Amino acid sequence: MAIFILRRVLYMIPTLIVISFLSFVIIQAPPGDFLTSYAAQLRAQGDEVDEARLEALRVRYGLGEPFYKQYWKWISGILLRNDWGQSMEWQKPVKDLIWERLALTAALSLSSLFVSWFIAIPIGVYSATHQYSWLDYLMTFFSFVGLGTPGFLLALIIMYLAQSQLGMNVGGLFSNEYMLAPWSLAKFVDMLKHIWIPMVILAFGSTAGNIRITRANLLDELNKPYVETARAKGLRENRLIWKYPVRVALNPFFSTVGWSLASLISGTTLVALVLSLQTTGPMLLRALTSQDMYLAGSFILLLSTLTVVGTLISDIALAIADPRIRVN
Amino acid sequence: MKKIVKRGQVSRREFMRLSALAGAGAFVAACGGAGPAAPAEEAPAAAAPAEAPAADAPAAAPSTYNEAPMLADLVSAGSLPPVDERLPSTPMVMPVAEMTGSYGGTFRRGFKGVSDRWGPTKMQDRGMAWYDQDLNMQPRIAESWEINEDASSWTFHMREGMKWSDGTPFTTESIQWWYDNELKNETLTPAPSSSWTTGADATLMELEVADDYTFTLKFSDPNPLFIYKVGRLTNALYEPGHYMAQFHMDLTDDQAALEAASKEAGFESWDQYYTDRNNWYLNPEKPSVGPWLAKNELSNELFLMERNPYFFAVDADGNQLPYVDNVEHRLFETPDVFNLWIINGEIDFQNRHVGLDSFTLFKENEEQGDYQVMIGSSAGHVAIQMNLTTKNEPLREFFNNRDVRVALSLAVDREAMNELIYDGLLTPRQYSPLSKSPQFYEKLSNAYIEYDVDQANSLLDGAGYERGADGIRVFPGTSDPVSFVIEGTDQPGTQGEQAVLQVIKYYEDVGVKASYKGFERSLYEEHWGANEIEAAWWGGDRTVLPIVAPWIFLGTMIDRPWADAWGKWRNSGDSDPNAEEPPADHWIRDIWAVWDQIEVEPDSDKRNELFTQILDIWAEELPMVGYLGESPALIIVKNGVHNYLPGFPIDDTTGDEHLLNTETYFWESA
Amino acid sequence: MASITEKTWFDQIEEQDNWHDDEPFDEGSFKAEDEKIFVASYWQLMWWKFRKHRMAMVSAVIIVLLYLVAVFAEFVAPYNPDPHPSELFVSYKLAPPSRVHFIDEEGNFQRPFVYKIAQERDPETLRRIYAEDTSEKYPIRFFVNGPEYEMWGLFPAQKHLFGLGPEAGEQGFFLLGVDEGARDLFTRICFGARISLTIGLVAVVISLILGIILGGISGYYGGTADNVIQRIIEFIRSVPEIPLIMALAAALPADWPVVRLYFGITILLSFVGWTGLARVVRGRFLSLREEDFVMAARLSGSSEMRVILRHMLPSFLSHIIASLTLSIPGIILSETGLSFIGLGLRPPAISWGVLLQDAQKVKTVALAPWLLIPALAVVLTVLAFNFLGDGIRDAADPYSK
Repeated sequence: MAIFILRRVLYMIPTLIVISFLSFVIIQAPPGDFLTSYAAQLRAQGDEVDEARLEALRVRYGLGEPFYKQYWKWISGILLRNDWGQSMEWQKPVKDLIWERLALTAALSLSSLFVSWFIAIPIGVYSATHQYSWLDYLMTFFSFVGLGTPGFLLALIIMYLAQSQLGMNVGGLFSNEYMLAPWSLAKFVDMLKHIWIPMVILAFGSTAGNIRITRANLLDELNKPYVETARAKGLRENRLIWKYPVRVALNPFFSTVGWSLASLISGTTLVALVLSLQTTGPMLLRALTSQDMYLAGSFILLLSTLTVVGTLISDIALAIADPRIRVN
Repeated sequence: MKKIVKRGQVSRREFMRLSALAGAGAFVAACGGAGPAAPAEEAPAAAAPAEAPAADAPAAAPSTYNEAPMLADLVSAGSLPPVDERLPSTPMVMPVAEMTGSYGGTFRRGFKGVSDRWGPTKMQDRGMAWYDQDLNMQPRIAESWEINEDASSWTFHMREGMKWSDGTPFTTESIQWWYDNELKNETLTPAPSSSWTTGADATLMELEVADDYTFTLKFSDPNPLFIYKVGRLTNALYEPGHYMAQFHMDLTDDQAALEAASKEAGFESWDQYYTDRNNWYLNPEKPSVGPWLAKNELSNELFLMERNPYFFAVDADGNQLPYVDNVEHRLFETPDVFNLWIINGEIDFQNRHVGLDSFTLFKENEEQGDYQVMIGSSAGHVAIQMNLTTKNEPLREFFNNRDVRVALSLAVDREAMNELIYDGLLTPRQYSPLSKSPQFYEKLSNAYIEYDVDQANSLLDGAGYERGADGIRVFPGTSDPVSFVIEGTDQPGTQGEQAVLQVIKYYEDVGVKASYKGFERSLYEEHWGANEIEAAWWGGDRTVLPIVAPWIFLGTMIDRPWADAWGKWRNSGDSDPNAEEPPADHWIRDIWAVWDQIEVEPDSDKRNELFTQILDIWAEELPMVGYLGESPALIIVKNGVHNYLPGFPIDDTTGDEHLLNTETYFWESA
Repeated sequence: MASITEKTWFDQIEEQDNWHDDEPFDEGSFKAEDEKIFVASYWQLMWWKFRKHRMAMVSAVIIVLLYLVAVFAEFVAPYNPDPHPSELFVSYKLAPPSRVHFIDEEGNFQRPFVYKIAQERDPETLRRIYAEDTSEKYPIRFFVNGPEYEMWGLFPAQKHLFGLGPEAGEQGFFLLGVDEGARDLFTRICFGARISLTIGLVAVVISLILGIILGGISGYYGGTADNVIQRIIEFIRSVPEIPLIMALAAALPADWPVVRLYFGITILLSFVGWTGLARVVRGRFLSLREEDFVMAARLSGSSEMRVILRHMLPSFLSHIIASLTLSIPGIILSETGLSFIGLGLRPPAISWGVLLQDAQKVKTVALAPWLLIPALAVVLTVLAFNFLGDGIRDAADPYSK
């Protein structure tokens, strides 16, 4: 087992090096640099920026330097000093910006993940045990509608309804008066008034998939002889299904949660954008369009690393669950 | 205590204007009623019954001036000096548009992040002078100023006893400190802004300080338009040296500590740290002279501003301004959330980011959201800029033919486009000064704006561009179709994009092929920098005071490419690899020659006269082809907010919706 | 937004399948029902099983219909999708879907017709208000002459499936309403189907080729080749998709015409999407490699190529087809998502993503909700493909219960 883990960890190292390098390439790929975008923004908002000033700034930010030097400056800062650089757009250290939003993002994603599975498991089990019944069709139908509805559009519609029918403050997670206030019961209530919108949308989108996974896995499981045996022994149907096959069917789920580590952070980008949630997704998207190099690069690096680490965790979990894999 | 304020005049005027806009063509009728001068007379009359705030003033300390209740509390608690000591001996008396206001309340607004700081800064950044309702410059921070005969030397008199927001005196020392330690420091200012230089070789101005309250700026050349450059100042001309010195490597007591502090904050060198600390919206501790002070950083989701107890202006009744206690800017990512805030009544006063395309939405929800949609006039135009210096030679010849430009102006049915895309709210016209601008010139705004396909065709035929087999014209002597790419930054689904797609179809009617490509703005700028743009869909604003912001008319404006390579040549000579000298007999040289005279002409009437010559050349040559303009600008004003009047121009030059002094806007029942 | 950033659910299922792959064929569950079954071919069995999945059958019909609309868009749509300004329905801008009547004002049952619509403007809000003028009515006809078009850009025609005919003049029949640009929305949805429905197919085919080749090599040969390819896949999957697509999109030349850009984006989507398929293929190869019939074929001297193509590929083709069918909806959704963040197609191109992006505004939801109908087209398509894929997947293992 230890050898297996060690081998996987060793595999990870070159992957991570390549990823860090490519993160940097990706953010450097579009023409121009942050200052071009920065000047563009200033001009869009009516400021005059002359070329001489831009050139001076470019030298100051080291943007004219060769690629490898910029890369080294960036990666060595992260590895050696935990210095992720400055966000040029937000004029704040990247580290602070990311951590500020990470907690909120993770809380939101985890809670919607939880809600989604909470709904999905019973439905999935029902669907599998009553395959091709009309209720199975109905649930399948709804879960596919959830899969097929673009989340960004759904977000807009729900937000509009919340405003027009309920007169609610929409966007973000708090009203103005609680935004900067310390935590209190009132603030928590205010958050509940806002957070249901993203939760509903995110859950609607992912419940569908989760129902399908539960259903498919359970169907596989139900065909196995041990179920027949148990049934033949006279175990009550309900107990029979929930005691073993469901558990086994969900095993792979728990081990794939690892993969969702990264999507917990970036997975809700478009919905968060529409809802103006101050999560990491919109910030990443904005960093990319404005070519805010260090912020975008650090984000990509962080997300990729989480995926790789997540995959590793999944693999280890699976190896524990299923010894056959270790042999491979 | 609650004041009842009738707003009959305002809404009637607004209604008149709106109905005039809706009926196409009758636009001019509405302008007379809503001209900038009109509201001025109303102010004293309306102010008469509004004596209420005086009662709020602390009775204990009889004073010439009144202050906000929240400050009076601080004074009686002993944590703030009395208002008389905080104000300069001759505070600025700020005119109000409607009536004397009352204290208190919060303005809620929206913004898009640190790069969108213009909402807060246009409210806050105060300069030496500012516009009155007739768009003339009046003293602000400066009590007065005088100039010498050729306007090369400007002497400013400051207000005695004026203070920074931490109570430190604001004197010529603040100017001197900025001039010595910031402007002339090469680390901090590698290239001085053109505001502080004159002449072809960009000579820096000289500062002479006479006493604590008088200083003179001397230029190597006449600089009669200088006052316009000090209207809105951000980190320029004055600095709180007593505070900023700690971040300045040459002035700090402990260089090692500063070095460490800037490293700790994530900067590579002290100047970056200095620049960061120097922004009031990123560093709430930095003393300021504006009406409000930052309470947190702009990178927050909610940016808070609170009144400056030392603000240097009062109203005619001696009430220290601003009236409103707090201003909040809330972050949004897409316009949808912002629009929902508006119709839910959560935006109190704003024009920035309020889109004309949602007019019906805003108007229908006025009652529910308890606000009014006020209408001003936007400086923007719907227009195309054909790059007369494009690198594509046959195309350059095509664009440089005057008949071609006239033909492409005549080929478009402006009325139909206005109706289809803008609900008839705009006016067919060329890119030219607004009807409210002192430089308004009908000869240009109405030049070739009729829809005449036959004449357009005969002009193009006459220019030698015959139609090929598929109906598309070809370059003379070839079988290459006349075809070009129009670049722009209008996003899908916007009115701007819909308009250019229509225009392209009209061009096709007269045998000219074009396609539109929308770009991220930075990519567009790259293309502009390399002179790769063939034509640009970029209407352009700056049509309220073109003499203050003339660059589009001169062809030298950064990223507006009707004369890309020539403009670069004029701006930076041959040092720019993409610069090109215009032909010796070209009319653009005439425009520049006239401008060279305007720039050094101290007499404003003569300047206006000269500028008309430029507009004459424009009316003849149509350097840029305009289609629609005089667009209404929407200002969301919650019911109960006063002292903003509709009908004013909304342009960057004049501070957008803050032209009338945001510090005088107030909440009726607050 | 599930499609661009998350793994689709079936990806996850397939990936799990790879681990505890294909249970050995279970004789016990095999009940003799009908002699026909014993002699039927694999494909026949699959078809029988597929037929049992009613929703899948319905979906198959819907999908065929959708593609027919896409192919014959010019004929099915009553108008021109992006006409010259003079042919726009300017006086019907933002008109809601036309109401189809069967009973006239006298209570008589008639062939379907619409009343004349008159526009008014609210002087305050400038909202357009449409009212029916019952004094004039226009019957809806089939196979009428309408605006001229060139079928597939080849031959001119003017017959349309339905419409009001030339006698209606200015009046139009707007099945799904009129958009902001004064164009018939139904027409635009028909033409949008062309891009939106093919982008999925093309991307899936490209992914398939990449996936089969690389996944096949990886699964069949194993060892170093497998290791290298697995690292590449792992790498591509670990880079978040939005930045990856953005970087790749930036590499597409800006001055490309619409059609080429469309192919560029398709290739881009498949480049990001092939890895999932490759993993599926690899898993199947891994398990099949050990099967007796493969061993037998190899021992009897078949060449590697022949073993792969003749024996291994057919035996998991159905699974691949199921995976493919289930990939298409994701790509259709990705197209809308890309348009939303400004990386996809832009007007004058017409796709469902473009139409949705046009509609993604508060004012549309509030004032002209019918402009959101393209979303229903997307949902319907995704639904149909999912059911179809579900059916194929269930049927792919016809020997199971």
